[in-house]
Amino acid sequence: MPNGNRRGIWFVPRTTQGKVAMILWIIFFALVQYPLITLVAGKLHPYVFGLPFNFFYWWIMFLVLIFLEIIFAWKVWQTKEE
Amino acid sequence: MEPWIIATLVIVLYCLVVLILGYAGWRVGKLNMEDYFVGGRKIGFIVAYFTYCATFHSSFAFLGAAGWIYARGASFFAVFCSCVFSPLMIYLLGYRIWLLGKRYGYITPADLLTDFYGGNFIRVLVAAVGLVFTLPYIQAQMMGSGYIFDAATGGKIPFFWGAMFLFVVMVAYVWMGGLRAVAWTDTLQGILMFVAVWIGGFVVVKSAFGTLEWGSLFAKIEQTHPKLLTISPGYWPIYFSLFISLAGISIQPPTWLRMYIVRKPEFLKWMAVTSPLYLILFYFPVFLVAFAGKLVMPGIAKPDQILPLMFMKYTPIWFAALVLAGGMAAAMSTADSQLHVCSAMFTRDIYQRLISPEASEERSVLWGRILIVIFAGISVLLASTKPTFIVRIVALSLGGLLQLMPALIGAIYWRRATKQGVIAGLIVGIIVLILTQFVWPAPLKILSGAWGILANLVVFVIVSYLTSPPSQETISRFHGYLESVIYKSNPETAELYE
Repeated sequence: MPNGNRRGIWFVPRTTQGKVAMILWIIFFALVQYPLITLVAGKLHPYVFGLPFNFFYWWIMFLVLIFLEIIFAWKVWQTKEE
Repeated sequence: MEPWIIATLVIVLYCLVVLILGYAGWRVGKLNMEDYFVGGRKIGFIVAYFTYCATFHSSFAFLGAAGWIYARGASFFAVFCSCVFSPLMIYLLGYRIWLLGKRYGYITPADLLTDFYGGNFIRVLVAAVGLVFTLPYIQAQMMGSGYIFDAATGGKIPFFWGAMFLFVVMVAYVWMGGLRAVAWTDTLQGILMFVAVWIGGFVVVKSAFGTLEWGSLFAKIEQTHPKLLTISPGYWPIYFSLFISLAGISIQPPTWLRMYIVRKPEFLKWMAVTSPLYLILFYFPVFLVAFAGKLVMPGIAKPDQILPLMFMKYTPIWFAALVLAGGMAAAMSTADSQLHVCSAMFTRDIYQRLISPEASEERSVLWGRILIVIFAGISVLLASTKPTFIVRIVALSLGGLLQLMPALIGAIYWRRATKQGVIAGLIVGIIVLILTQFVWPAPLKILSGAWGILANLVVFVIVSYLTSPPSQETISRFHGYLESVIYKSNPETAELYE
C-alpha cells in the first residue's frame, strides 16, 4: 500500500481528463455567478418559452451544468472498491 | 363532510402508509448498531437516491421556497447554485468517506474524524456541533408540519398540534425501523412530494388563471411587481454567500451518513450528478404557484403559508389535502433523517464511547430509540416559538454544520491537517458564525455561514502548519489506503507511488 506521501497538490486532479473536467465545470459554474450574471439578471426581454429571458437563462445554464456533470460521471470519474 | 375533516383524513391516510413502511423496515432489520444506523451498508441506488433528495428538500422547499419567491422573487435562483454544488460533494467527498467507512466500520461523522485526528475531545466537539446545529433544522420541519395542518384545516387543527402530529408519526417509524425505515419512507415521500408539487402546481395555475400558459403569468408579474423578476446588482454578496452557507448541506450529518449506507460507491457517483435534476426541477411549479399567489393574494402576513393557501383556495379539498400531504412528506423526510442521525451521534459518540463502553449492541440501540423521542420533543418545543421565516433557521443551521468541512477535507485530502488546527478552526468558525448571525448580522451583506467558514479555514490552515503533522502511520492508514484504491491501478497516476 502507498504511504500516502504522493507528489502534487491535493486539490488538483491527477489525470488529464480530470483536469479538463474541473476547468469546464468552473467555467460553466461561473456563468451563473456574479459578476457574469449581472449581464442577464435584469434582462426580461425577449421572453423564451414563456419565460423572461433571465429566467430562461438560469434554467438552461443550470441544466447544462448538470448535463456536463453526467458526462463527467460517465466518461471521467471512476469508482473502485478494494 | 366538512372540508377540514376530509383534509385531515387524507393526511392521516398518508401517515398510515408511512407507518406501514416503518413497520416493514422493523421486520427486516437486525438489532445491532450497524443495521439500525447505517442499514448494514446495503442500501440500493433507488432508495439511496430518494432518501438523499428527500432529505435535501425539506419543508423549506415546499413552504420556505414559495415564501421566498412570493416575497423576493428571482433572488431565489441563488439556491440553485447549492442544488448543483452540494450534491457534487457526494462524489468528491462521499466516495472517500464510503471507502474509509467500510474498511474501518464508521457509523457517525465523529468516528471518521476521531480516527484520523485522535482524542475524545474531537469526538465530543464534532458530535456537539452536529447536534446543536441539526436540532434547529428539525425545528424548521416541525414548523412546516404545523403550518400545513393549520392551513389544511382552516385553523381547526392549530399549529402546535400539527407539529405534534408530525412528532408522533415520525418517532413511531424511526423508533421501529431505524435507517431502513427512514430510507424507505423517504423514497415514498420523495416521489410523492415531487409528483404532488408538479401536478398541484399546474392545477392551481389553471384554476386561478384559466390557462396553463405561464407566459401570461410572468407578463402580469412584470406589470404589477417587476422587481420580483430581476436581481439587483447590490444583491450579489447574498447570492454568493448563500450558496457557500448552504454548502453545509453537503456534509450535514444525515448526508454524511448517506455516504456510508450505499452498497456500491458507484451509486454515490450517479447520485451526485443526477440528484440536481430532481432538486432544481422541483422548484419550477413552486415558482408558478408563488407568483400566482402574488397576483391573487398580495400582502399575506406569513409568506411561508402561500403555497398551502393557494392549494386550499383553488383546488378541490381532497386534492389540496393530497398535495399538502406532499408538503408533510417534505417535512417528514428531512426531519426523520435528522432525528435518526442525532440519535446515532449521541448513542455512538457519547453513550457508547464515553458513558457506557461496555454496553451491548441491543442496549445501545435501545438508548438510540429513547434519544429519538427526546430530540423530537425538544424540536417541537423549539418549533412552538414560531420564527417568521423558515429559511433563516435553515441558513443558520447549515452554516453551523458547514464548519465541519475543513476537518473532513483534512482527513481525506490534506495530509498536513492537524487536530489542533481542526479544534481551533472549528471554535473560531462557530464564534464568528454566531457573531455575524446575532450581534453584527451579515456584515457587507455576506451571510454568517460564509464568514464562519472563512475564519475557520484561515485558522485551520495556519494552526495546522504551526503544529506537528499526523503520524506516518495515520497518513498511511487514511491517505495511503485511499490512494491505493483510487489511483494505484490507474496507469496515468500509478507512477506517483512507485
